[in-house]
Amino acid sequence: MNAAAPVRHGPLLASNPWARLLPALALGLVALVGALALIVDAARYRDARDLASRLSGAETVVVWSHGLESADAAAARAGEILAAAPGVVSVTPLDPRVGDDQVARALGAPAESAAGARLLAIEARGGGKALAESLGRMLSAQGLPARVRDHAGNGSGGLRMAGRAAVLGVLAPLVALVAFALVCAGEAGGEIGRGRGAVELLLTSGAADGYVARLVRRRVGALALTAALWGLGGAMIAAALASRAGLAGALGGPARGDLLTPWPLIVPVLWVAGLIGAWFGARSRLKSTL
Amino acid sequence: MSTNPVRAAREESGASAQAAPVVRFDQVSLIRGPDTFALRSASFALAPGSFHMLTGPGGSGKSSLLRLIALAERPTQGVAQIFGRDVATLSRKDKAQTRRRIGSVLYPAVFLDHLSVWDNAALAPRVTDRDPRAYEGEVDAVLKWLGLAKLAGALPADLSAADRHRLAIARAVIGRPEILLVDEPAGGLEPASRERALKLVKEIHAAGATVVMVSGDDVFAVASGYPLIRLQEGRASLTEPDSR
Repeated sequence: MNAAAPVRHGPLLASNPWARLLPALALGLVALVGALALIVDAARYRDARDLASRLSGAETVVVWSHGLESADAAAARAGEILAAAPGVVSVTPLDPRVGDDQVARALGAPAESAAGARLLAIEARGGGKALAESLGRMLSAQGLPARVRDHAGNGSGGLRMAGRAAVLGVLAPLVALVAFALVCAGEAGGEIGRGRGAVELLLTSGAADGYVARLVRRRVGALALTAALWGLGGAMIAAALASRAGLAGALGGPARGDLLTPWPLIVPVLWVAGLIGAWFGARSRLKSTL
Repeated sequence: MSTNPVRAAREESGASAQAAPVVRFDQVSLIRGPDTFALRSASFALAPGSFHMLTGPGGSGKSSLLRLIALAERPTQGVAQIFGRDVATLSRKDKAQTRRRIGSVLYPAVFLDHLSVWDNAALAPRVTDRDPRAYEGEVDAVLKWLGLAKLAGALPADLSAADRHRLAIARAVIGRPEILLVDEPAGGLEPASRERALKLVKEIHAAGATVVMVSGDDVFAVASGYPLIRLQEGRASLTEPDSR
């Protein structure tokens, strides 16, 4: 005699894990894609925000030699003048070995003088174009050929790009969410189809559609939660591996703080979407029964 | 006035309500395919608290008729009324409510094979979200009465045909249905169990339930003294004991 069943209050729907393997894999994959899209989006946005914050108040000054004054001497004099300027917090000369001439050309220094150019990084309170123009005028008044470039514009441009990326990054998880709910709806219908005999017995015994739908929703909900957790775990591992392999600079890998940021909420959100999908899937399929 | 509380409550509900049949079939047909009638233009009415024997040769539509009353199938043609309401117009919610008032022992009996005998017997009260404490005692008592108490933890697949039949009867009577449909109550049971099963059905009837009992044994059906619903090639005719 088989004594495996509990004597009282056993689960009304029989469990068949193999029949649920395919939907479980589909749900896990959808959850992984959704979670990965959110992680990438969160990392990209965080990078852009940090960059904007670093570039706010940052100016770069290109100074080059003229007359008898060498480039180094011109840079030193410019540093003294700029350090005394209102709003300037610090002036740091950059290492000339890192290709200042190319940078200087990129920042607008005349080609003939770029080879003898030196760069100074300035951190200022506020910054902005007005400060850059004011510093340029100060250096020019002291007879120093120089160009001052404000980087705040670069930061806001990056933020705008991150904003556009964020919109795309939100769309992908939304699509994943809808797909997740649809798979759960299909699985709920499949659960009723596979257990049709049992479901009809429940109905003829007086069970309301809502009662049977609750049983199915509970079962599919457990599957959805498991798949969402596996998907999230897979996405975190994929992001960490991609970051470590240098394949995705923006990812930076999931940091400890990421556990508190909103993107792990994808698990309960997917779960709720799964429950809703399962409910409607079950109710819809039950209409074709007794 | 009856001393039975269920019957007494029904008597108090008024004479007009008592007179209304709990089951009325008007030209009801159940068609399974082209020219394949499981039931053909059946018309009859069952008064509340009545006891009818349903007889007919094999394949005459006895089980189909029970399934129609149990709302396990829908009539293809005609009007079937259960508790005064046309089943064609019942919402799914109303159907569930109606099914709760009907106990059925259909043949062959279907069970939830992964659940124990006890759980299968307790199915009807459980799916209506009743508090388990309110029906556990009744389930235990009925299983004991039918000799299934020792098998409460077994799976249906481990039961003999007779035990499965007793389990189907237990499941149908728990919750005291207002209509009890019994397909072949004595089928496969040894004489002692048969007597117990019939006695239980009669007790449910004595409590006020309307009973329709299928019997393939025409002699037994006639000897029972109850009105007969005879089915012949899907057509039904009602015979009162006096007219036999």
